Amino acid sequence: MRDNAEGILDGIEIIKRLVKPQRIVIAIEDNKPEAVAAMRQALSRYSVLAGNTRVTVIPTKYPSGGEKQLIQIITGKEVPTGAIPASQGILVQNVGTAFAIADAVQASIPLIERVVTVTGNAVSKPGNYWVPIGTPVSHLLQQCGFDINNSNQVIVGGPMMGYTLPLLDVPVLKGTNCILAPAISEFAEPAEARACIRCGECAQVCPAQLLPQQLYWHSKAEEYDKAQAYNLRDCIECGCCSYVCPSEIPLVEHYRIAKSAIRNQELEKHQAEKAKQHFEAKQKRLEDEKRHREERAKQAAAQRKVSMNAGDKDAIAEAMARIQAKKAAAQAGTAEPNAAVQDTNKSSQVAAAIARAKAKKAASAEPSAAGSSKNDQVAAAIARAKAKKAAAAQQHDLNSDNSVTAESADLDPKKAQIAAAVARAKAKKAAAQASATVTDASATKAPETTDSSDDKKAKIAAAVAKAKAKKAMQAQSLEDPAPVEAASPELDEAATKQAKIAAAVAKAKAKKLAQADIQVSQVTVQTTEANTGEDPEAAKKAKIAAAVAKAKAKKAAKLQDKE
Amino acid sequence: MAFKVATSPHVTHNNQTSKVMLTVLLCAIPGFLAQCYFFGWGTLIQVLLAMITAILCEAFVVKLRKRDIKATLSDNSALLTGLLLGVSIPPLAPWWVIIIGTAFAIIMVKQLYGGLGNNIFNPAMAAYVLLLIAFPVQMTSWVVPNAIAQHPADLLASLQTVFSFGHPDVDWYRLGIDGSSMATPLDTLKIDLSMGLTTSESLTKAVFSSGVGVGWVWVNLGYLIGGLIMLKLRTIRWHIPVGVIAGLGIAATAGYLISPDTHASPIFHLFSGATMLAAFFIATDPVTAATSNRGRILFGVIIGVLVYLIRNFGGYPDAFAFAVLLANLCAPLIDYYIKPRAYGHR
Ligand code: SF4
Ligand code: SF4
Repeated sequence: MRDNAEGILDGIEIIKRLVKPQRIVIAIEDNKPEAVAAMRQALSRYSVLAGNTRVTVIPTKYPSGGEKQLIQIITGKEVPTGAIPASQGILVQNVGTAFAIADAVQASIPLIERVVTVTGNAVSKPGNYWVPIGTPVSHLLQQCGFDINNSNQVIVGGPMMGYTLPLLDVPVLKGTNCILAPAISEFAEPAEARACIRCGECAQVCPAQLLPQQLYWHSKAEEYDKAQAYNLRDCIECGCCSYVCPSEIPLVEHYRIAKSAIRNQELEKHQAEKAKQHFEAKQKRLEDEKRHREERAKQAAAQRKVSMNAGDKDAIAEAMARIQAKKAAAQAGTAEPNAAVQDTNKSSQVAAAIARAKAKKAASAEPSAAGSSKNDQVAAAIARAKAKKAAAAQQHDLNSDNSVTAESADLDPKKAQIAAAVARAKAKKAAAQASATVTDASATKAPETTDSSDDKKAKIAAAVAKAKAKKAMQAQSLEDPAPVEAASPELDEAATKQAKIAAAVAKAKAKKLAQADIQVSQVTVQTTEANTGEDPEAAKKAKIAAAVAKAKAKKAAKLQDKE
Repeated sequence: MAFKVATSPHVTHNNQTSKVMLTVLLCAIPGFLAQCYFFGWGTLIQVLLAMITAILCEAFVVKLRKRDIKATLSDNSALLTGLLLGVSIPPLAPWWVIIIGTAFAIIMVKQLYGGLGNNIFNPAMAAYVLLLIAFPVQMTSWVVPNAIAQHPADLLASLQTVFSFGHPDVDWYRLGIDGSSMATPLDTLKIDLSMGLTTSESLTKAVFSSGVGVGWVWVNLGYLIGGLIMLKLRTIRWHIPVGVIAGLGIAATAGYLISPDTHASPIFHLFSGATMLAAFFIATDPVTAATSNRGRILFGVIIGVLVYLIRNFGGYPDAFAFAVLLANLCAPLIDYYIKPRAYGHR
């Protein structure tokens, strides 16, 4: 500073032009009065800087050279934790830096050398030297008269924060400000650390106003979270606490260990986090790929299907149809009757269901229409009887058919005949029973009814029942035309005859039925007319019943016509 | 050649725990001498007994714990504990009282908690409380200060009394029973107040005017001087003593202003009993105190106020042992709530 005050001020001027500060303070410790005088003198010659630049003498108190501490001494401000001085509008630069800036800008000399202080009792010529960067420390020490026998450590930096060199064949770097070569006797051997007596001396001297004893306690116990709660981060590792500690605890060493452990922990956490993210990304990618693959497979399948529909599939379908036809032919004897029986069951079931539904409807209509007409009652009775009959018929059919099926082990075409015969017999029986029932019903429900009407009703009922049975038969043949046809070549004439006879009977029945139905419907209609005023709903029901009856009659007529 | 690798800082202050302790020991000398002068050889005997016991106990426990005996003993903390306990108990108390007390202090209170730096309670004070509760008669029989005793106890008599051997002079023996043993000013005041006398009436008694009170004042002054020297040497910081004296002084002043007839003056409180000894030598034990500056002031104030309360309303004449132990209990709490604001944390 004494020798290069001008160069330093040149550098300051350049910095001033760059950052345009309000005020420039050159702080010099009070143990360097010549430097202060030299700077002041040089400054008085600089008109550019004169206005807002001053030289301030600060007390020589370690660690005032620390950026944050210097700011505190000069401005009284504190740099918030975790922030940089620039956040307070403050920039701290070394005089060496200022000088190097001037050199670089004005003389175009890059940073190739720096001033290094060589000191310590193990060197005979201590002093400040201009040293080219890269000079081996061993060479530098040699030039200064280093007595290697009188030294056991060489420190780069100051006694408080410097680090020891394990060997001397290292270069001077641009940050190497001092090389300290103490004689063996100069620094006391570090004594064995004793227990912390919590004297608080360390807290008194800590420039960061921490509680080093608590930091030490928690660092030693590896309770790093607690150490951080005591602001371990803000420790500047100045070494003041270790310096004063009466128990000679290497406090800073503990903090360094704790800090690096915390750094490692954070790094690990960070890496774990990253690994997790990577893993999740990979997982997602794999899933996406899988989905894509599946989609592609699906598309391919769809395409295949399309092409198959065009050609292959038709062929397959044809082949299947052929196979089925063959099978059907082979099984015609057994399978077809069975199928027919089943279909019969189905249709008879359907019929029964319809009948039941009708019966119910009629029954619900009955109460409201009660007393209005005997015929109404009769109709209801008929409906009920029909339902019963249908159910019975169905059961009978089932039973008989089942037995037929069981007996049809020998593939006899006669079976079909037998079945038909049995069915007819059953139907007749059912009809007889039905007429009896209906008669009974009408007898009980309407005792005043004349015999003739009774007879008539019974007949009607019988006819209806018969027609039903027929219908069932026909339905069977209608609904299963294919099997019947397939089987027909093998059915013998008897079967055909039988069918014809059945058809004839059916026709006759249908005729009768039609007449009866017409009667019934007339009766119903009359009833309805009589009742309209009283109960519209009942009337509606009655009408519906009538319509159904009419439809049935028509159907029957049609069927009859067909055959 | 191989260089020594070490972490910074590479220099340390020439200030070691053993030196700190030694300084405290030496600074106690003025008060200790005053005590010896006014209360006879008994004090010296007790202190020596306590120190020897302390060192033996410490060595024993450290050996059990397989630590370095020499390193541990060289921190002088056992000596300090012995000194503090030795000057706290009555000079002519039987020898086994101080030995039991010291052994308890070192073994139970200090080493069982992990040795120096880890104990919660001040060892000397914990031991004092133990003795006070276990041997109340022996612990409250203070001899009449030499200045007013017709037959000052010489060294031999003191030894004979303490170790109860031989046949001391009949006169002395008699006095030892009913003449040489006498209540302290604090005791007297307390008893008098309980008998309905006012403070001023009580203070006219011989125990205060004719030298006994004077003796206690001198002892306190001696410790005050030692304390001031320690402050000057920066062996201790001002926060705790100031806290104690301020706490006691303010509380006593308040009491005195409210009711001068039933409360002693602040000066009386500050210069009787163990006030100065406690403020400078006992409460400042860093291990069991709060660590931050503000925390230490609070710590001191707690002690001072507690002392006043116990002296006035408690069952014991002097209260420093209890007050210090109670404040020890508070120290971790104080440390938790009173932390200095670190740099950059506004
Ligand atoms: S200076 Fe050393 S002994 Fe004192 S409190 Fe700090 S760490 Fe503990
Ligand atoms: S090294 Fe010690 S004194 Fe320095 S900042 Fe850290 S804790 Fe404070």
